[in-house]
Amino acid sequence: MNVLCFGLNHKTAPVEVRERVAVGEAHLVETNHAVRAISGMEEAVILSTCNRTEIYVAHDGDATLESVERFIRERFELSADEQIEFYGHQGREAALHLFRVASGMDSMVLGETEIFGQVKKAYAAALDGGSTSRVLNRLFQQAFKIGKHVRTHSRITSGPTSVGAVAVDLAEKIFGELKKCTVMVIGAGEISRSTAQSLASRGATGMIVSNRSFDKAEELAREIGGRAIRFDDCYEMMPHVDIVVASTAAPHPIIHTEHVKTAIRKRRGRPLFMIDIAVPRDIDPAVGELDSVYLYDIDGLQQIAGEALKNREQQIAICDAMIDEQMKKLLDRGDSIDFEGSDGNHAVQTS
Amino acid sequence: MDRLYLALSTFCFLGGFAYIIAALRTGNYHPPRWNLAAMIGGFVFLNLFLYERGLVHKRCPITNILEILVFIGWAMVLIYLFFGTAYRLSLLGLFTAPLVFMFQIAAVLMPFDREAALKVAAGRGAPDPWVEIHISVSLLAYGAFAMAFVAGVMFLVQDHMIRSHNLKAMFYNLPPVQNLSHAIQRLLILGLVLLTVGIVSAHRIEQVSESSKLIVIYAMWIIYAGLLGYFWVRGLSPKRLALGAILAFIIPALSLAFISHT
Repeated sequence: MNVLCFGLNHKTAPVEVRERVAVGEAHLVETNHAVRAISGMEEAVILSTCNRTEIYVAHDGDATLESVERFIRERFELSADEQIEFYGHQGREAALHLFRVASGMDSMVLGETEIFGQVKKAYAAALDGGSTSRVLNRLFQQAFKIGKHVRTHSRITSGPTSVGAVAVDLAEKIFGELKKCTVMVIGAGEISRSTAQSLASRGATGMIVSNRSFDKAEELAREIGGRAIRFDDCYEMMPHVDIVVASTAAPHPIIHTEHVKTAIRKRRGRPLFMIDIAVPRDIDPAVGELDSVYLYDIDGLQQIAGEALKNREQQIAICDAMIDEQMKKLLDRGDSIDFEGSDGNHAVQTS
Repeated sequence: MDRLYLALSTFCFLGGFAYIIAALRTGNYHPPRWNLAAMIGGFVFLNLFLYERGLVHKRCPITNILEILVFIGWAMVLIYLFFGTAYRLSLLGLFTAPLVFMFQIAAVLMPFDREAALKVAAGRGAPDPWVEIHISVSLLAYGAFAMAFVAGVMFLVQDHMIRSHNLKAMFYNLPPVQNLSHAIQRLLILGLVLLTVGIVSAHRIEQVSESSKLIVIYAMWIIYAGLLGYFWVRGLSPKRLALGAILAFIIPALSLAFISHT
């Protein structure tokens, strides 16, 4: 029995193509059975996320990558003259690919952990639908084991890789739990919205939105479950909030040292975290010199996110070595999955 | 036997410290089970050491500078085990272990004349319980102030990393600055309360022979009370409170040498 993997992902196909071959949760069982109906296919698991659609198959040796591609084109109504870059792996390479996917090493955001749960869900759907048996059961169990091992024993998941995640990490290292933290958003820009949402998702309560246009402030406040205040009231509110997210379109700083000094005095030693994501900046950089104030601008946040990503990239070789070692152990155990008949990798670009 | 217990205890603290340093260097720092186990192990051996020495002296084993250091180390570990777990300041152990280790390594290397100590104990009458309370409670206060010093250092390290936008592996493992600030306040309050008890008990002693020691303790009390008072009344920033806890510890640290020579 051999294994095969065929599909496309964010590296090979734009979202317009990916959304056409996506398989919804409700259709997974039925599509798995349709794959198994192809001659020689014994077991099947379809992994479909926003970034990839991959079909894993255990076959008796007769099935080919071309037969899976034919199936995909027919099933998702992709015309034969449409140029789509698929990839295919067989035997050992297919197993290695699954192990890398489960470890988050093939993800758009390197090391992200969501994919692990998505692989588990895909496998559970196939298992419940009766589309897997001995070979894919073993392969996926091994993938979960390796995914967990890689995450635990490397730094592939360490460090925040987005502006919102950096802001949340910093807030948690200043205040501890964010449940008692109040956030004030000044300006209703897109990044401030996502940053406020990131903070809210980690427990921050008491969202306050202040904007020159009160209507827009109310709109954002509704969206993030907070309340709107007039723009001029933001200075009076400052002593009562823990985190300030500033992102107005003002051409010059709107928050100066005097404003924050007054707030700090009233806060009696409680720290104030100020996130300035506006360009030009909304907060005078001198504010960052004050005791109890932690000020970050967009460059500072992006620099930390970039460093975390770089650190994760440096972990790739370590993680690959771990996966190779686990693969070797698997082969040494004399597992009955036939990796000997491997044809390796195939990039398939068809028209 | 007492020296063996002390050596084993010292070895445990060294092991716990080495484990966390290695873990932080590789970046694979996980909840410090091994460090906690080492601290608990060290604490158990420290108790056995103090028990054995107590049998020799027939009183609380704080008769010389090294025993005093060991006792302060014991108080620090005791406070760490309570504070570290209660306030999730697990990394307090990282900064506590080397300090306790340094205290103890000197005590391990220092010779101890057991026979002479037994003779002194035999020739002395029953100890005044107020003396015992005064000394032990005052030294517990020293332990609390030492831990406030440790938490102060941790605060400044974390504060510096956040301000300088330099988030190293330790940033993710050190506690939040607000938690550290609360820990410093609580440790200073604990130390001040213990020191007050130490002072009150000193006034119950029948024959106060060394009033100079009391002057040192009064000075300490005034400095720490002043620091806390200034923090509460004038709204001193947490950074300055941390700095204050570090600088104020110079007084008890220097007073140890003074107390042991008078």
